[in-house]
Amino acid sequence: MRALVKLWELILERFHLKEFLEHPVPRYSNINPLYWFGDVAAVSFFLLALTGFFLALLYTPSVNVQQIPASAIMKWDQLYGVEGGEVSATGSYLSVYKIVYLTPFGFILRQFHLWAAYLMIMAALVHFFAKFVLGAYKRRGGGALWLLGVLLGFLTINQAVLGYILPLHLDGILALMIGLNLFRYFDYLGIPVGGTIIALLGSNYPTNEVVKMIYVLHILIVPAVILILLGLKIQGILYGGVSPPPVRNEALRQKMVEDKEPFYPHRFALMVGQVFLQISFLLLLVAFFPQPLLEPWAPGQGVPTGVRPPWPVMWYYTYVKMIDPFISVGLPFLLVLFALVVPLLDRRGGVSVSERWVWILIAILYMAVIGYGTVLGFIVDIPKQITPFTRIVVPPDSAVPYAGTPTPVG
Amino acid sequence: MVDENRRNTIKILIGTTAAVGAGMLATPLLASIIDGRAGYVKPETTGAVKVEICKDVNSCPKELGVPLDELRSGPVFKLIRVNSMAIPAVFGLVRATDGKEYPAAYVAICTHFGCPLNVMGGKYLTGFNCPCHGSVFTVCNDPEGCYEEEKAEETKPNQERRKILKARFLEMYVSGGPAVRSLRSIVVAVKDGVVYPLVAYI
Repeated sequence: MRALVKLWELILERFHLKEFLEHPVPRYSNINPLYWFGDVAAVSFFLLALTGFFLALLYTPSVNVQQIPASAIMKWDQLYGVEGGEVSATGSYLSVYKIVYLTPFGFILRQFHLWAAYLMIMAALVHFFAKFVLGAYKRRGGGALWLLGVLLGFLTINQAVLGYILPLHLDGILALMIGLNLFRYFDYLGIPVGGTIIALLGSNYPTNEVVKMIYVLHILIVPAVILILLGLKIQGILYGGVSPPPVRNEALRQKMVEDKEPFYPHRFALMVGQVFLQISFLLLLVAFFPQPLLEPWAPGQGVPTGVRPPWPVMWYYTYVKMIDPFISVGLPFLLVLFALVVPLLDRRGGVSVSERWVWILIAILYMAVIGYGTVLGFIVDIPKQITPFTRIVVPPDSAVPYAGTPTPVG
Repeated sequence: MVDENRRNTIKILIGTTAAVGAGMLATPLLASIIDGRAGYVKPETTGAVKVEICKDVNSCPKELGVPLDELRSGPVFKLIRVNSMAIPAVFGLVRATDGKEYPAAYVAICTHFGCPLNVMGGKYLTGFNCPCHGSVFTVCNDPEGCYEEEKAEETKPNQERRKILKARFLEMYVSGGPAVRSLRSIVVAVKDGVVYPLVAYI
């Protein structure tokens, strides 16, 4: 025991970790819930990485159609009405099926990864809203952190969509095919997105190469970028401090900012508690709300109607269904761009609620756009365009004529 | 204690990186404006990308074709592989209003958002529907082309209602739902009772 303590002290000393661990942090951010959710998102990221390592080892990217033998189909899992016979599915689906049903603890592993991802997105959204309300970008260095945060949020949603595609269940295939073809509306503006996708990925239909690329993006490239940006952000918060408390009284605010405690052990203990609470919360979600592995699909099979996207992108689904695609395709980019320019527009005034109620209303409106679309997508399935936006007429030279010469055979 | 030399070197390095980066980003955009000459797969004016599957019927490999006998019992799905591409094609016979049967093939990707399409029709290919957002595509089976009557409110007074060309023969036009473009087609040719795909517009 004494040797371990000695070793720990040696590590602290040799790597100069004491400065890092004992740097002073303000006390006010402990009690205000607006300061909690960045931590939740960051811890979720590390839990995702941990579970992701094992999933990456067990998963195989492949679109080759294989059969799930009847003997491997779980008895309690009637597998979408298929009785007795084999089920054809892609290699990716089969490997996820093996993880979920035929690997010890595989079910919990995948469920934990899924729920941690949902929690990370939810926490990131709440964190974004909280910092919007607090006007966190107003302090010195806050603008850069805000910029990093918006980029991280964008990457998080991307990561969620990429991960959702990987099992290549029906919904994942639809997400992939929509992702590969959606932005071809830019072709109308003369930007050759369709050609570029084929030049980069080799196909606008799922192939082994495309799925491999998505796999590498999901497990390596995007997480690496997230990790770098997250490191920068933590560094910025470490030495720049968190956003000042939303208090109007200058003297009181100054007092609150200067009331500090060392990170270790005070805040460290809280963080350990948070990690364990988060793990147990996620395990509870896994136990009580397990998300089934969705149904398989192989090329050429019929697709049932009524497939909906998962909630993180439900609002986008609702708006592109409601509004003309020429207008609504760019909506996420518009939201990200607006979030990026917020620090440039909102410059005056203090940080308290009474001084910046206009921007708090804008923040609520911003979240309401996303929330309204999400809720609407879940409660009604919009049959067709219901908004007054008129459909843009296709330019005559963009209409697709029948390309061949019709020749009868009998 | 600022080393001016070092600072200038860093400035030059960062400036060069920024210039090269901006150039790399701008090149494809510029290329798209100046007629796409940067080695891109250049799309047609329709936004579709032309893919040559076979040079002609004679050199087309047997496994790409679909026998007519097979088509007579209903449309056939076939995943065509060309280089790195996979093209989901649906072959079928269209029964025209003149009583003849025409072989045709289409890319089964919805032109709205790119979902895989479900085939409609039994023995003959009549159309497609999209499970995602409910677009419906119907084949124009009139050799003269399919027309629709002008709307009453658009007709000028004291004039007959004009007929407007809705789709040309064998065009898989949008008859419902949010899609705006007709389905992309595949040029086919028949040899020895086998239908071969020649050129696909994806």
